[in-house]
Amino acid sequence: MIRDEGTSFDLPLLAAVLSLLAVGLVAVFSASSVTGLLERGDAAYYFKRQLLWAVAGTAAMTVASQFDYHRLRLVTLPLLLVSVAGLVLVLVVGQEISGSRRWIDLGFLNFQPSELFKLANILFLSAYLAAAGEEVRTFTRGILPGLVVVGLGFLLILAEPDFGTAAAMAATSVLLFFAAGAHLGHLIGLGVAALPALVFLVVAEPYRVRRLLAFVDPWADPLDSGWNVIQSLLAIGSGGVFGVGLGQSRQKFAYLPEQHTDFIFAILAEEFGLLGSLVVVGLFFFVAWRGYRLALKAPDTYGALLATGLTTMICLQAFLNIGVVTGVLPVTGITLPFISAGGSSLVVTLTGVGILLNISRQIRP
Amino acid sequence: MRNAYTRALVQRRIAFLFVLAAVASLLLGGRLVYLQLLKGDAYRALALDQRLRPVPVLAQRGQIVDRHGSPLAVSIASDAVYAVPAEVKDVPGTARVLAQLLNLDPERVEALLTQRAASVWIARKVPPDQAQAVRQARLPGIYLVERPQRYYPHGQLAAHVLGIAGIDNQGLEGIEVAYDEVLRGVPGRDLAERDAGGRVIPHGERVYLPPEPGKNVVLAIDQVIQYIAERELAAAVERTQSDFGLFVAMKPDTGEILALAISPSFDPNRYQEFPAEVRRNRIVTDQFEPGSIFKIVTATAALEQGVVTPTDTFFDSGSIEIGGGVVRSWRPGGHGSLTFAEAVYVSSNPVFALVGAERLGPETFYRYIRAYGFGQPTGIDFPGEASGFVAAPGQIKHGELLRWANIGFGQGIAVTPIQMVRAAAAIANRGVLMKPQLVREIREPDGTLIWAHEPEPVRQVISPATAATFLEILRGVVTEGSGAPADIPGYPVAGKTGTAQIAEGGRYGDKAMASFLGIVPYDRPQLVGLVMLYNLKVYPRWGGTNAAPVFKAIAEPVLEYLGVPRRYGAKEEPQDTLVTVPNLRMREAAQAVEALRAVGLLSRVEGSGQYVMDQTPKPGSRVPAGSMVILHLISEPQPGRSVPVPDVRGMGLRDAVATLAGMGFEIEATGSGVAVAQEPRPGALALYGSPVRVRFEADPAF
Repeated sequence: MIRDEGTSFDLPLLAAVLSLLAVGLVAVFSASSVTGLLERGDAAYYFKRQLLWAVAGTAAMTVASQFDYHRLRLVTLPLLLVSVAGLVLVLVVGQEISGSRRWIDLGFLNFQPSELFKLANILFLSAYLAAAGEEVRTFTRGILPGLVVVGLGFLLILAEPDFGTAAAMAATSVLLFFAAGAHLGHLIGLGVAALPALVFLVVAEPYRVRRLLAFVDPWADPLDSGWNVIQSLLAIGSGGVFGVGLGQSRQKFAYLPEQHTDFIFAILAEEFGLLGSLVVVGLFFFVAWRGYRLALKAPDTYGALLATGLTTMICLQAFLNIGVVTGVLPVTGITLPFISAGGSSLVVTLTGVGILLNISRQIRP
Repeated sequence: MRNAYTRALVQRRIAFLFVLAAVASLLLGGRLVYLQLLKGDAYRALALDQRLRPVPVLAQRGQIVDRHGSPLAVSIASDAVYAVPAEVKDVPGTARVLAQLLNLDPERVEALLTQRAASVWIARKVPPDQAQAVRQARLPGIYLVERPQRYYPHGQLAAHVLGIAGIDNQGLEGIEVAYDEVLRGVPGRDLAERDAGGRVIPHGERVYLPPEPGKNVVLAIDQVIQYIAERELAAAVERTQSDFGLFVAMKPDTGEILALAISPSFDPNRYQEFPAEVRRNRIVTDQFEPGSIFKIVTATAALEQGVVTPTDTFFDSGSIEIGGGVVRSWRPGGHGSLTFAEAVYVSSNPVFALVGAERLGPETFYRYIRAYGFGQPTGIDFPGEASGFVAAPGQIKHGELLRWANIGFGQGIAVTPIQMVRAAAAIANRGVLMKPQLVREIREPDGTLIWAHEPEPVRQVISPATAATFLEILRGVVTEGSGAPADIPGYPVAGKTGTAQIAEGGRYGDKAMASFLGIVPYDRPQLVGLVMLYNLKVYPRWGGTNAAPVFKAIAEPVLEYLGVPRRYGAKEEPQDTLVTVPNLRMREAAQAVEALRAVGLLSRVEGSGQYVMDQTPKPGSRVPAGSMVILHLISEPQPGRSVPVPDVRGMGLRDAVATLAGMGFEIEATGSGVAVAQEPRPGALALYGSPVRVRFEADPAF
């Protein structure tokens, strides 16, 4: 196999990702300054941490971009096992923060096993679906093995509980089955079969029912369940076309919860206006375009599926997050890739981008 | 081939995913255009609305000052401590520290800190040193704010006039509430963008509307006169063991209240520690049966109507039957033959019963009572004024004439002290009734006059001539009658004493009220004052012996303070050996004997008791030196005590009744003629108020 070493990786993709990363750092600084000052006594507290993570993530991306993606198959199974073990471990020793255990305290950093699982899951599904070839259209040998892994991860993440991450991971997996050529009947059947379980999951937790109702009409309970969405909409709307200016957000003053994580896009939209928010949506669309283009041009099915999975993982999560923040989807805790504050997520996402870049280098002209 | 088929399917599906991403991007973009372009203004307005929260800024409350500008109620900035419970990190620890610094109960503070509220007051009116300690403790979630607080620099001085202002600077009682709108000012507003916790957002929109400070209220009260009045009244209340005492002084030509004192009093700075009863301004809100001081109304009405003249003679036989009842004289056996003026001096109830009920008659008498302002509020600028009560003619179904006879000497009618002093002031003001005024002016904080209270004449009640005539008679009360203890050298006092039984539950019990209504100087009145001592317990409980000295004690230094020159009449140089008999009424017996000896007169004492009830010859008589003056003594019997039964044998029915009644005994008479036997025997001890059986037989002499 002939390789054009170091010459033809997808520069536009890298540029888009680095742009998003830069926007994210600025947004984290601005959005977290008030909370940082009030809770940590340092307006730049979250920014400094995020900067460190961005550096670490960029390093991981660079390493991954130099690592032949074909050889990833060697580390896939160990990685999957480690991440599943992490998911089990987090339920036992995880730090409980507002009622859920999502992080393992490693002393120097908080590690989020579900983020690692997202990556391992895509590596695993791509490898086995590519290997399955035409048998992907059968149920038992095509979908079931993948389904077992996805289902196990889904249940473990749900147990934390982290419904948003579990749902995003499951949706990414289903879309990957779809891309791999799975029988549409199987996928539809799967959806129908999952529906009662989904309904049960929602009804079992009263807060999910309230969030769902708040999505239908946030103004019915503006001070409690509707609060987040309303404050988010007020922030976005306040931005207008040109925004209130960098650092000038008013809604970040304790009105909008999770300003620097789940709802960071609202602060971004408030400070940079419609122009800024459309640029961010446009950048994610650009990432989707470059990613799926890469998938189409990949040298083999494994590369195509890997590129599809990674692109879908990033973009689906972005669209879900922006959908929640703009009030078109019910509230679930999903972060915005590259932008929301959060270390594990950033490193994992950037590693994924590194893999995409490696794939891009192996495209034959 | 299979692989190729699969790869083609994968390619189509990936392309489809890309289309999905495009659609999702378009949807989100469209949503953002909708939110930020189309609904942007609406959401911005909503967000601003949510953040812009006005915080009221308390206005500085206006001062209350006396007529010369001395502050009686001021606003001072004091620190208040409040907590934002959501920001308090360590609730038990914070509560413990705060409780220790502010001398509060730790449990109560902890309860406040756990309240679900944006902010809660921990303590207000915090002393500066405690405030500093709290500031230095730097407790998270605990803040200090400066708020204006009411402070009364002289404590209880004029407390009943000032009233009180509450913790939020709102008037609650007295002038503080009557003039609350003037004093309160207009609160300002601090309109600022605030975060969800209420903190001001830096660089946010901010509009500050400064508060408009309250205006100053200038009272008619003179703090010097007020101080003298409170001091003397408190001493009198203590000396006489009265339930309470009150004094009110009016400037007769303007109706201004110069002093208003009630004892016991309270400190408005610590008003919570005093019962509401003590805080009540009884001079305006309470009504009493006035007793003999009300005779000034009966007398002036009768003189104005011309139904009596000062020299008309009456005969007080000790009691009079009128309207189916009996009106008794306070002096056993009555005062005998006397002029109308003398009836005022000695306060003869039968004469005034007759004048009120028969000479004037209900219709005319009622008209004058109303003209003097009784039975209706005076309109004084003070909250909660009582109107008193006067039954209109025809309103009483049974015994109406007796009722009007009683009103003639001040029973069966309810008046407020302010109504009473105003009526006397009308006599002192050439017959013109004035509206009483507590507030003189309203001024801006910088002193600019906004409003001045002009004197408000209500009506001419009696002619100036009648007023002048009657002032001479009232002067006689002091020079010759029961008001002697009120006289001040150089300041001729006119006045009327009153000793009223206190009716409780529709019956007259054993309680009494001593009062004195004084006008000084009587010929050029500067000051009209009313002293009332309620349920005094020092015997005798007469107005002349108890209330009149209080008036003197207040009026003398006040007139000196006001710069009224003393005037001494032409020295009564004895032209020959004749000396003038002094007025000894209401003096203690020993004092009276001493006074007579001093002018070269002999004395003889008749009756038993401590005080001179009457004297012969009358005061002012000119008699040769060395003449004998007979002092008739009396002692007010005390209820519940046993007293010797007087000897009534040989007396007629009328004299026997008067003699027994004078000592407090009831009579059960049998037969007619002269008394021949009595039970208990003369000299035996019997309970005050108990009946004495007396048998009368035809006088064997006839």
